[in-house]
Amino acid sequence: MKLLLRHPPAVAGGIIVLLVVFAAVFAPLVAPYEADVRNIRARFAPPTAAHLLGTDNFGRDTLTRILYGARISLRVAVVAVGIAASIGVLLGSIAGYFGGTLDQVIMRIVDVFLAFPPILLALLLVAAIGSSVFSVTVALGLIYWTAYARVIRSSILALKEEDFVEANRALGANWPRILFRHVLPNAIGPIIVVASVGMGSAVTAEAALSFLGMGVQPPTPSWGSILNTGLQFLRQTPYLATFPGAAIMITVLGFNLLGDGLRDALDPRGTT
Amino acid sequence: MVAYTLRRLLLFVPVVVGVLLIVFLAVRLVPGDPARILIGPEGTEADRQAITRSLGLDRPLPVQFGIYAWRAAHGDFGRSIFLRTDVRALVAHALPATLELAILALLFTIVIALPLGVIAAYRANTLIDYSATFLSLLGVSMPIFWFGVLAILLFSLQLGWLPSFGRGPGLFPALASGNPQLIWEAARHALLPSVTLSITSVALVARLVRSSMLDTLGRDYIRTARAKGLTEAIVVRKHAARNALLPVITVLGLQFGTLMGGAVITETIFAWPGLGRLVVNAISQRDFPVVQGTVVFIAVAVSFVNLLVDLSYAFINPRIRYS
Repeated sequence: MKLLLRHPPAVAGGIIVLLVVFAAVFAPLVAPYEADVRNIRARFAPPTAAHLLGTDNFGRDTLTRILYGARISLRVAVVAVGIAASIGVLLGSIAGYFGGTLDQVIMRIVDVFLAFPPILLALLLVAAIGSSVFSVTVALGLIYWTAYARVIRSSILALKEEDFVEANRALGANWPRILFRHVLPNAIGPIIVVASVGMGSAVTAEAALSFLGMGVQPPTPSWGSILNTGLQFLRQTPYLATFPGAAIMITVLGFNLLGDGLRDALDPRGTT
Repeated sequence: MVAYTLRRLLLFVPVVVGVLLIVFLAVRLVPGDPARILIGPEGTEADRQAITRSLGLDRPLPVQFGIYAWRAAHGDFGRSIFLRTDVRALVAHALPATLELAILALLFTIVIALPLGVIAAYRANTLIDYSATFLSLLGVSMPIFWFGVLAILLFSLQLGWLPSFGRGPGLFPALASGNPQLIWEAARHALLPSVTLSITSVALVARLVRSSMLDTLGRDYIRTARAKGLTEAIVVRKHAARNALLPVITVLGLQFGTLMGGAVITETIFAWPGLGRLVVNAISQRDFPVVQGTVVFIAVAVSFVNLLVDLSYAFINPRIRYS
């Protein structure tokens, strides 16, 4: 933690992430309008005092929709990363701890998943199970688990040769106890780094799916779908496409900075 | 080396089978009768019976998968529900446009990312380095669909310099014709989409070049080269960059997958008639034979390219010996 605080970009990343979380949690309080208020007379308004970031094709306030969009983005990303990390950690630790055929089979499954560009596999799954917040979340969770599996597997391969594992085995501990109580807690650092960067990927992927019209469906505000509307009405207003994209980039930047900082803090040998 | 190549080729087979299995099962997740799904809403009862028979849809799931994989191995993914054409023909028709975009994007990646990374490392911890590092961090965080939209906004709508959609005559056909007018037109159409597609790769590769170059510049043999009086230009170019760029070759090769994913988005924004737009349109029309064929084609192509990259790396760098 101390090391992390000495890393200015990581602090900046942390502050950005906290701001986005704040926006998501307190959206109803800080948003200037109610979530879905339409005002046909104020369509395609440019940024003004009444609408700081302008309005959309229904005259809805863009700032309000972006603030509510943060809720969708973060909810999808947190749950998707949770699903991905659970699957990845479970399969990766089994592969690393037992080795042999089990390891071979699990790593071939990883290879298969890595063959698909992530967004393509997400599209395929969403096409099959339908587009909703729930299906986008599940699809992203099922896609991003491979990174966790690979990272945890290599940590465990190194850790299981350590003396404390041998000592536990000698004491008669069974494998789930050794693996989950003793080995896994020592391998958690890299997972946190992957999860932080993974939050950024999940935010982008959800936005991409919604942008393509396959993700979160209107009228639920999602950064990707607001951007999609913005692209359709690019001639009427340039702002509608600009601001949600900025929201996505700033959020992803926050998670990436935080991830880089965590990596440096957890690995003192890191040079960059 | 031969044993390693054979082993890697052998491992390619289960990956392809796995890809087929995932795509096969994904369509089975769609609620309803798979035969109905595969012939579309306008298919007749006769169509339904024909497809049930030919795909064995009334038989057990493993048998169905066997039939499916056998046909896929022969490139047969059936016919598009909407266009009534062979999926193979649709993929073959869209492929050149996507390759064109991917090759141009890879070219931009090399031309921009390599110098950027090398300079940032050489001027480490100066303003130049910080700006380059910050730019690549922005690039990694930038959603490419936003970049594409901003590019259209600036260069097509505001300045009116470049077209915002379509492939025009296409760069490959234009180059083949040798007509300068056509080449100019094709290049104008290709510029925005290919730059948009390259953004993520440029940023990733620049970051990697910087750290690889930093690592190399700190080595003893670089100090030796400087000590014996070689000019900085020669030290950097011949001694440092050549070694530092070795791992970069692998990463450049692996960008193929990233580019294919990006093509799905870029082609949709710029109405570029390639594989990405084919698959997105097919998904929104629920044209599952086309979805299956395109996704399998892209996934197999990506893993094949990755395999080639791995093999060529072992070939380029003789210090690497795989057991």
